[in-house]
Amino acid sequence: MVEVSIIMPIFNGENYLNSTLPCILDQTFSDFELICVNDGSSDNTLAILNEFSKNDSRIKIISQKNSGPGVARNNGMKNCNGNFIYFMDYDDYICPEFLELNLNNIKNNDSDFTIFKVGKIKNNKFVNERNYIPFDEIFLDCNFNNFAVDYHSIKENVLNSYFAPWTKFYNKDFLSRYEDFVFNENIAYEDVLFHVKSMLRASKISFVDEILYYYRIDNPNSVTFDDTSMDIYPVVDFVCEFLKNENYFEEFEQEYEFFKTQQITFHMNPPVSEEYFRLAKSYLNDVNLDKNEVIPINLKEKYQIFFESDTPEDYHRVYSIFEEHLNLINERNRLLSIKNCLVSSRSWRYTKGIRMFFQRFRRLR
Amino acid sequence: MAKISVIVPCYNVEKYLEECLDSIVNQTFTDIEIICINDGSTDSTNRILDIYSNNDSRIKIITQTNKGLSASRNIGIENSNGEYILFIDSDDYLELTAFEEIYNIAKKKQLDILIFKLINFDDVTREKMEDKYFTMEYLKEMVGDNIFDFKDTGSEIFTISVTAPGKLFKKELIENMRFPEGYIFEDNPFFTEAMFKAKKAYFYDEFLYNRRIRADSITQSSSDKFSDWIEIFNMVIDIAKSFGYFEQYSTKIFEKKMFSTYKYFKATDFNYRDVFFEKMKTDFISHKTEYESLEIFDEVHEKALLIFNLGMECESPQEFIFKMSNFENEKEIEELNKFINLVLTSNSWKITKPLRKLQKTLKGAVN
Repeated sequence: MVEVSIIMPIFNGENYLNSTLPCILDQTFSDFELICVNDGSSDNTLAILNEFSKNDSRIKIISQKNSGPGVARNNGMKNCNGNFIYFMDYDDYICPEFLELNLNNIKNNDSDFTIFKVGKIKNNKFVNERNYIPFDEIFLDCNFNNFAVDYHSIKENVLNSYFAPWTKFYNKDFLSRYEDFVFNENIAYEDVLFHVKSMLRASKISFVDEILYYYRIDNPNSVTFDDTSMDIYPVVDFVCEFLKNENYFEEFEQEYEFFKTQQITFHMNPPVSEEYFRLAKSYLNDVNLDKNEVIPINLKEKYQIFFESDTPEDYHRVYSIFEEHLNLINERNRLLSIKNCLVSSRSWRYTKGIRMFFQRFRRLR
Repeated sequence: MAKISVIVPCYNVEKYLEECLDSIVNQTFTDIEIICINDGSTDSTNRILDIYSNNDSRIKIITQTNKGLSASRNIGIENSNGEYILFIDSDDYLELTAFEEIYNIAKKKQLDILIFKLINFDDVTREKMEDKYFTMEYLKEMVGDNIFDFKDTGSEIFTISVTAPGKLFKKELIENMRFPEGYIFEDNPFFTEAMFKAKKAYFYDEFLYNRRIRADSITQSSSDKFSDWIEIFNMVIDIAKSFGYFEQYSTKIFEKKMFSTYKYFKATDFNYRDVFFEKMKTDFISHKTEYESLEIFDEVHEKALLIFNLGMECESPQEFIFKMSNFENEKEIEELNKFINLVLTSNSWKITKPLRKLQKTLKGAVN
């Protein structure tokens, strides 16, 4: 019996395992098992895992034929012994105090799972761009060591949120209570429904106010780069079915409208197929942007591009103008913050008197 | 013949009507006729009207099936017998000395139009808030305490508040005029024509009318009808033309047409943008030759010209929105770059260079 099971699916991870495995093994809290599920890798993954496991008995290796991360994680769950479970990705970075701080928090709050701050790895650099449910911005002046909520307090984050399994540190009892707490198998976006179930079923969700994890966004082998975008439609259906069966649909009607619009348009990267576009039109033909009160206005403007296009070419033509629009907004915001910096700097403030003097002097002339 | 005809169109205003009527029947000036048009109300509006008219013979009630604000006001004009005419919206209320003050001035100066000020108030908190559109400080500055006509206002004539409430009209000036029915923005062509016809106008710098701001009023919820603006403003331009006012002010008129159309387009609900865009595009294309022949494109504001060109070229509403927004952002970026450059090359910045160097070394030492 071990305190924590870390479950990590790996497909062709030879480029990252040599950095990822050490940072896991260096955890300040040591009572864990690291279940590496080798998802039919064709590179040196297995050799690297074997090498590391020789020196650290906490590493357990499960091999399976290539079936995707859903099957891999489910496989890991079936074969784990920990009281707590964490799903990790092989190309990310986990901070040394990850387990220690999450365990303290989840025990103090007796929560079903914890959320914590996450950063990004861009071009091999750590970047603190927010990528987690912002408890620290929603609940101000809070002692998170003694604080837990259920979905009602964070309703907008149930369906429109960060779905990745590594965003949560779970109490195993919570997951075991339900037979269907498994990842969708043989399909992309397998974590979406799992996230929705987690959010709706938890009676206590707590928060750790520290960045404990950095996720990599530029791994070309990562599943998110495959062209599996058509899978989004069955996943949207799964979520709809779940909400209806568990009687959440009416409560989340507008959030669901936001969810399906966001998910379907988000994966509409050029070049989008006729089939994807057609299905999108049919799935979203009942969306009423004007009546929806949870979609932010800037996203409504973006979604409207899709609603008024009749063909993928139409859509991409206007979408590229929209991308230019985003770039200009970013540039403007960047310059605005430079301007504010300059204007509030000591150099500028201290010399105000001199500028005013010269202004009056010029006026007199 | 009463001295003032007060026209009050009423549609489902049971919550506000009493406050409105009280402020009319209790005016210090009593020689008035009060024409209430019940525009097919389905609440207790008509009961309230009956009670008031039973107690005050100055009140005349006209009932009709629901035909809208313009039609109601038009019926009011047709049935007015007073020397002067005034429009009130049935959810607002007046200051009790309003009629006394404005009638005396209008009569003494023999005015065609007397313009006075409105002030907004919140339906819930009752807090009063000035709105520049109704306060018209620029008008006060332009004409002061003098009698004026449209020629004295130059191009500002199109900035003057057009709302029907807020004016005392001489009956002869407007008795043959009507509000266009079936449109919103109906007060624009009406007031514009009245202003052009008036030989003697006067601005009375007092707040006499309290305009209720409520969540469900007409202008807030009609964003599907904003495309009416295109036809309405064309009516306004035609009026200006018929008074020989167009050529001289064509630059300002073109700019106002473009800016106001763009403003209402942005405020339109997504579901109605297609309709608005098509109307706008058709209208711009149909006026292209005319506007080009005015030869004002070198003088008009860059953004107005862009609205005109993009309105004709773009193939979809969102394309238009984003291209306009890109232009606005590019302008702002240009301004910001200029300002940043100004600061960095300024003397202030140069002479404080040693200070920044010191700050940097101190920071480095701490780390």
